[in-house]
Amino acid sequence: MKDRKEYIEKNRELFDDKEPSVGHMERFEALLNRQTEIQEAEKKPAKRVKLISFISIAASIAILIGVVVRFYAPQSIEVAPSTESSIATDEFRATNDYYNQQMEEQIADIMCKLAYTDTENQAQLTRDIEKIMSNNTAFVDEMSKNENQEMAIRYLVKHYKTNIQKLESINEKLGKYTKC
Amino acid sequence: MISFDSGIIEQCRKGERRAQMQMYTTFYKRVYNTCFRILRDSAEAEDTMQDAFLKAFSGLDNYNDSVPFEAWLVRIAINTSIDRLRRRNMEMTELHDNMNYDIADTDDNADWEQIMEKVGQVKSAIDKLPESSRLVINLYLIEGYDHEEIAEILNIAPGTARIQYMRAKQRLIELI
Repeated sequence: MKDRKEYIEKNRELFDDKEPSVGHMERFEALLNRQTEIQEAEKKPAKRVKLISFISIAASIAILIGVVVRFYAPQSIEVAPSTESSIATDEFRATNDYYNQQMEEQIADIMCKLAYTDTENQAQLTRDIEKIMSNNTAFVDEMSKNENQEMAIRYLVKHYKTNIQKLESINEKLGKYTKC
Repeated sequence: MISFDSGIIEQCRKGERRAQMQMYTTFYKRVYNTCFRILRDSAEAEDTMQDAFLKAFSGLDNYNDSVPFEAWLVRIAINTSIDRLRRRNMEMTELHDNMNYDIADTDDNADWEQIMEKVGQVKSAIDKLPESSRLVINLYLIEGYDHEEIAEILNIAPGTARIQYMRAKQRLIELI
């Protein structure tokens, strides 16, 4: 048995001869960055809701309006057809639309719950969501220009799933303290 | 084992990005090949490899240095790959199918030495095996696990692991 393990170890390069596709390190680094964002978002616990004062309701409404204007404005999440270099296929667009809708549903849910949290949380979560959305737009834009649409769709799905997971995490945390 | 500065582990525990990328650079090929052997799909293998690294980084507090780091990491990769394989509806029931299978329980050290003399042939023959046989053969011949360890990884009885290996080896020899 020991001989077998030794043999395998000494000849490891005979077996480990495959390489992942070009750019895997950059993709991993991007994945690490998104993971860090998730962890940071999770570290910020939604504070227990106390009595909702008149002031906090007013602030909530103001922030909600801001969020609605930002996220539901015409230039929100589209498959970057605005750039001439976009070569997105119908499949890419359909995939983007599908996951985009899921993200919007999560955001709508979060926005409802935001009204029940304090102003500090509202401001922080608004910043987090803005960051997710702007990163998403940039990523979708970049992928829509990728010549290898099959790979682009694969990474698009992976990217959206991470974002949706991130939003679900925020949503779940808020759900513990709110009625939405 | 792949040599590396074990101080990186502590830096990774602290979440230092440079150390994490250094760790990835050191071990990606080892981990990727392990995932690829199980999944046989380059895109899935890459996804799984990266998931395995993320799991390793987040689980470093549970890492005990009495086990070589590479072995610990590869084990995470194997478990992650098998989970993915199960999600792909692999017929895992086949792994439990060891009833009425009359096979001699021999010491196969001599056999594997002969088998490994023909590494190229073996690798291409392994590719032709059914999924569950390929999994067991890979874990035994290439990852170096024994039957007890394979049983634990696949969540089957050690006797079943041994029989599955014998059966897979028989198929492999026929293919070679």
